[in-house]
Amino acid sequence: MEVSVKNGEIVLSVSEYIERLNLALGGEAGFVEGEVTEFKASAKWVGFTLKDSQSSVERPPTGGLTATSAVLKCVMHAHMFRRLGVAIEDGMRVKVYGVPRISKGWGSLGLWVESIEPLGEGSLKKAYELLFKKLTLEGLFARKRELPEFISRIGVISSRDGVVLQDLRKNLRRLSLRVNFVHTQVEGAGAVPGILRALDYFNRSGNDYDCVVLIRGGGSLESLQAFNNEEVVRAIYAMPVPVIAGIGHDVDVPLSALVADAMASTPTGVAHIINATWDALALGLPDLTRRIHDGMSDIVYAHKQRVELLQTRMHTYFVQLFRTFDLAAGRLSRARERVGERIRALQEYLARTERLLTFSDPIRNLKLGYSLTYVAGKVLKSKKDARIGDTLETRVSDGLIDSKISNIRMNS
Amino acid sequence: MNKRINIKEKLGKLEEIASWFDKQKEVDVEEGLKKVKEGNALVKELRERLSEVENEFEELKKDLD
Repeated sequence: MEVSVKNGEIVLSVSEYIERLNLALGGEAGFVEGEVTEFKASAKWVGFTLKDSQSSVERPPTGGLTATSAVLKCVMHAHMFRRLGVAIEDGMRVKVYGVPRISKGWGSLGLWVESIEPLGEGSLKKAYELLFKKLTLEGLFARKRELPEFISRIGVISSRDGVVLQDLRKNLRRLSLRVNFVHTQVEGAGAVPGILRALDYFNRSGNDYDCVVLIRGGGSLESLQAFNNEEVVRAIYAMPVPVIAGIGHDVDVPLSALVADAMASTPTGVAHIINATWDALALGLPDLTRRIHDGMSDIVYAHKQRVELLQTRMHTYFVQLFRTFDLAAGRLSRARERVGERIRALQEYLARTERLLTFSDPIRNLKLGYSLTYVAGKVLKSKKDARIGDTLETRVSDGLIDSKISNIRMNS
Repeated sequence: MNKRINIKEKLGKLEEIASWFDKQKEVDVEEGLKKVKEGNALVKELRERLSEVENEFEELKKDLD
């Protein structure tokens, strides 16, 4: 123990005394507002000095009056500072929360800071620009992933208190969409952890969603602080699926929107972005329909043609067979005609012959007055075959006449 | 309502019959007649089914218009 009593006085060591002071100071944790100066950051610590912007009059121990600004040394663990996600630079007005403490090593009072919040448009703007520059250099704003076609599974992060969710739902096409909503504060102290929790929830869901939508109505730069927070921006960048931001803003686009893969400034705009992922189908559908219809028409036509063709092939055989019969029948008919003609010719010949025979009949000639004369049984045709005294037998139509040759003469 | 027929299968049978005729050098009228009867029945069935398909398809097209 470094406490000693000398002459009835309690005497403490420096260390003990500072510890006592720190115990007493422990109850003085609170918010302090001031301007940042001498900002320094190392791997382990972040340090800066807060000062009042207005000078106060002070009487220094050396005597006289001095106009000076009140200053307060501030220190913070670097990892805590990084978690805050706020960029700080000299000249910015901030509100810090911390616990006062006297450093044993330095013997000086400092504020152990737990949170820092930029104040006023100027500081906020400065913080925004610093972070924008830093993250731009890292390339966080350059990566833009393509939104998938036909987005239908949507994770939405927003506040249930606003009308943004209704606006989003109202403007989404009536498609079979599945919207999973996670409520979070979007303003105030709970906004950053709330948004980070929601992002983490969807991040862990992996590819269960086609995209994650982060929406919030418009607001001032101050009210949109959570969306300019470095941790939030990095969490959006780390999402496994594309993120669409719909964050209302005035001049400066919130960094959360810049890092998102697509952005709009209203929930309606976000709905249009999601709707547009269905355009390919809406535009391509008529063409696809036409191709299907034409294709089916071709198939039906081709089948009908094939049936007709096969039927023709099958029937051709019999048609040819019948044609052969027809040809044969024709030939037979012609043959019959030729036979008929031949018969007719024969009949005519017979008739002619009959007539000829009729005319040639010796009996008929005998009746007409002609006669046949025989000598010694032979028809007498010349006077050379006759001699005077020969007996002649003459046949007339009704009998025979015998006579003797008495004279033979020449034709006169 | 006509019994749903398998167009592909029936077309295949019709094709077989048509090919049978293509291959015949000697006329077998009795067998040919049998084939023609069978083939004609197939043609009738196929024509009816294809008309049905066509009508059904037209109705489907109207649904989309």
